[in-house]
Amino acid sequence: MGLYAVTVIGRDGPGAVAEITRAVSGGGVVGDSSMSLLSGHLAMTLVVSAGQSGDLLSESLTRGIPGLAVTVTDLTPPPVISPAAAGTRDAAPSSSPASAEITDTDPTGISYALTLHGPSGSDALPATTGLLAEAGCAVTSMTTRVAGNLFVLVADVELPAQADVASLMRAMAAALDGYRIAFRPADPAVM
Amino acid sequence: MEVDSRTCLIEGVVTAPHSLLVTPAASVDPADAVVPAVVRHLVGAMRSMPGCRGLTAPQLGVGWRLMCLDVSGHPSTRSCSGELVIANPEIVEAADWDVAREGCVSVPGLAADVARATQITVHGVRPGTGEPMTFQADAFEARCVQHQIDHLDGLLFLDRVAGTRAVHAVRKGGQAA
Repeated sequence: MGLYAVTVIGRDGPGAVAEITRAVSGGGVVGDSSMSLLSGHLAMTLVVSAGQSGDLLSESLTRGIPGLAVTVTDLTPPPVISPAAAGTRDAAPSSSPASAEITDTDPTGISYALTLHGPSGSDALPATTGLLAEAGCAVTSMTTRVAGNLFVLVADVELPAQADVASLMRAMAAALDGYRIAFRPADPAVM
Repeated sequence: MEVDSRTCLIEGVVTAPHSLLVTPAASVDPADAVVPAVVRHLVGAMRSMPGCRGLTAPQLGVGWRLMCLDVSGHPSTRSCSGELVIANPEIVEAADWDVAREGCVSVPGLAADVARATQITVHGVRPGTGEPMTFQADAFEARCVQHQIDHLDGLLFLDRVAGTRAVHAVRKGGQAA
């Protein structure tokens, strides 16, 4: 089984999402997915476990959902060869399960929801993500919206346990004059 | 309209990004001679915008803690005080939070899912007389009051969104609080 990321982008219309999910489900088993309208255009990403090659999956989807741009990216983890078997000629590589999740966020990190809003048309997005990266933050989810001349960014970020949140906020306030920036703790309450 | 030079009423509403929408408003003297004119303009503006259930002085260009609302007829309304105008409002009790989607005439084109208390008690004073007033609100009226008081504190609903999937583009109209 291979693991693939299928991205579909194109003009939105009645039944478009149903058409995409029907076609993708016909080629494999859909795992995580997300869909949104970006400036009125449909953008959908689906992680699919499929028994066929990425090329065949791509061909069938391109035929199945004409008019939409489809890209298939192979996410299948490379085979892992155990050290003991690495020297033997007939060692069969053991592959990780196709549905394996990759989680590389710091389990001791602190979750925050970052919101930022202000004028559109500037470099607020790269400036924000650059400062987050410099502080060692992992962005786990992000949405930006533009309405008129208003730019809005909302991001879920994981800060390293030792991160200096106050310094990061000061740096962002200095670099993003004219923007409202807020960090709120977002660790879920476990019931 | 005659207004004092301390105020700078505008036609229409201020839309984001704008410094007045991120600046806490100042307490207003309810007996100030200019207040009745501002109140008339505030209520008139709210009534003139379809779907608008509440409005604050900062949205009209005046940095005063003055708000009005009227949630009559909204399908999510339970408590309904009719048309209310309040100066220097303050929430003194809040309970039972719930998430719902809201928009704003000052943030056209966007809506967001926001957690608000569904039961609140508000203290304030009546513009003109300065008479203290206290009222309880629940459901949609409580949400609307909190949305307006956020404006007076220099906050937009965008500052309270729960996460990255909570901001939505509004393609047509939409309810504005």
